[in-house]
Amino acid sequence: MKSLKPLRLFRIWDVVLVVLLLALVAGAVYLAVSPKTGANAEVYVDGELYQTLPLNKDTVLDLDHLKIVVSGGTVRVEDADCPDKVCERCGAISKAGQTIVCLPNRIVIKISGKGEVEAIS
Amino acid sequence: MKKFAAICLLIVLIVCFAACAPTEKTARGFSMGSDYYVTYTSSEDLSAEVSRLLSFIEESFSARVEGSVVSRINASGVGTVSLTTEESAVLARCFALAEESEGAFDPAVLPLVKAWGFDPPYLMNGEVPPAAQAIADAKALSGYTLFGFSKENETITKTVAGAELDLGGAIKGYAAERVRDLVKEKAKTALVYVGGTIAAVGKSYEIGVTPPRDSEESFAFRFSLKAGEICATSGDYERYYVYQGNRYHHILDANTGYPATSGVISATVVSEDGLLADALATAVVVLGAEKGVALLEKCGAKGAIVTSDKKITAVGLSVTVKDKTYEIA
Repeated sequence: MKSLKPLRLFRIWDVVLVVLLLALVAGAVYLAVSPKTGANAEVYVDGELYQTLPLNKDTVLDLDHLKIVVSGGTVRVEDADCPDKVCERCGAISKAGQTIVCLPNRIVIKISGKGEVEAIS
Repeated sequence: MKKFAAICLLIVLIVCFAACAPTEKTARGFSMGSDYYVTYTSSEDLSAEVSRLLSFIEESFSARVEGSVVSRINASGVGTVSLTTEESAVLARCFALAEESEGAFDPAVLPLVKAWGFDPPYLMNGEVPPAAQAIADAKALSGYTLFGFSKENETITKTVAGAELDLGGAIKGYAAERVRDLVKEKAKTALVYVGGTIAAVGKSYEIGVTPPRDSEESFAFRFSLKAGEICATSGDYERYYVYQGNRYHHILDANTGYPATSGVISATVVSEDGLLADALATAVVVLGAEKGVALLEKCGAKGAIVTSDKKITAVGLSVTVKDKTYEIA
């Protein structure tokens, strides 16, 4: 009977350890594989994330040189003051991985989320 | 209590390991007239090194940066310009690919690019093709044969005043190659993206190819880019305008002076040689599907060629169609 007590203590901490480890692993797995629900348009200015716009909320982001319009689950550029207007010609984008790039103003708009591909050439 | 302390220590260690473990980071910016990003797994922050390397390449080889070797050659009259070993090595590869593709890839078509209004900020001529005489004049100043290149002496000689180089069709591939070689030393895995030219480091990545015509999908088809490989895509849909029902795009054929009309609307080329992948993607759009396949095979490259009938010819590459209006030939 004497030897039972330390054995029980060992068991309790063993269980605590296993539970903690499992929780850590489960958390890590969740973070790694969880789908990024609700696509967002990430707006980068000069390589830095400037703002994240949820595509399910219609809005207009008025930057100095152009307007970023979220409407009906898509995002597009309007009223760009650059000479070539390549960003406006891109039209509206909505799918994970799609981008609109305005080179003269160093702005990139990218749809976040994990699509079937990891990059588009 | 000892057991309790041991368990606490273990948990602290696990948390420390998790904190020190390589995490996914992204370096972003603009270079060579394009956006770039590098998504990598490393315990180090590589963004400054990547940015420095790309700035160095742009400052060395861009026709739009004053003081670059290309700008110095373009500004000079008839005569010889000395090159550094790196400049010579890059130009040697460009000139070799121009010869290999019989001028379908040509690093010396800047006069034509300017005449057609595809030099940035582009379309400043309005969306109207230039007059026939302007095209003929620009064509006379275009073509790699107007330059004599000596690898031994590390020199380039201009033989006709007004001839100008533009490595825009190959330099992003070279940049992707250099960034790949930089990050592979320090990152476990990385995806390098320089204006649509992509390099895979440490593992395979699934790559989609932009639909060359209007599409409901974000990519026309996809393929697996293996570790170490680089892919580049060129097409008639990137910079173009439509005038009187004809599409005028930025991939110019130095042999005719006009935008390529080979029937190829998009060409993706895969190789471990990034400069080659980039240059050949342009060359295949100029050459057409049949000659394009032959060129890729001759150069040991893989690829996927899309023709105007929306058929995809895969060369040594397994592709999966996403946009069902396209089909494998």
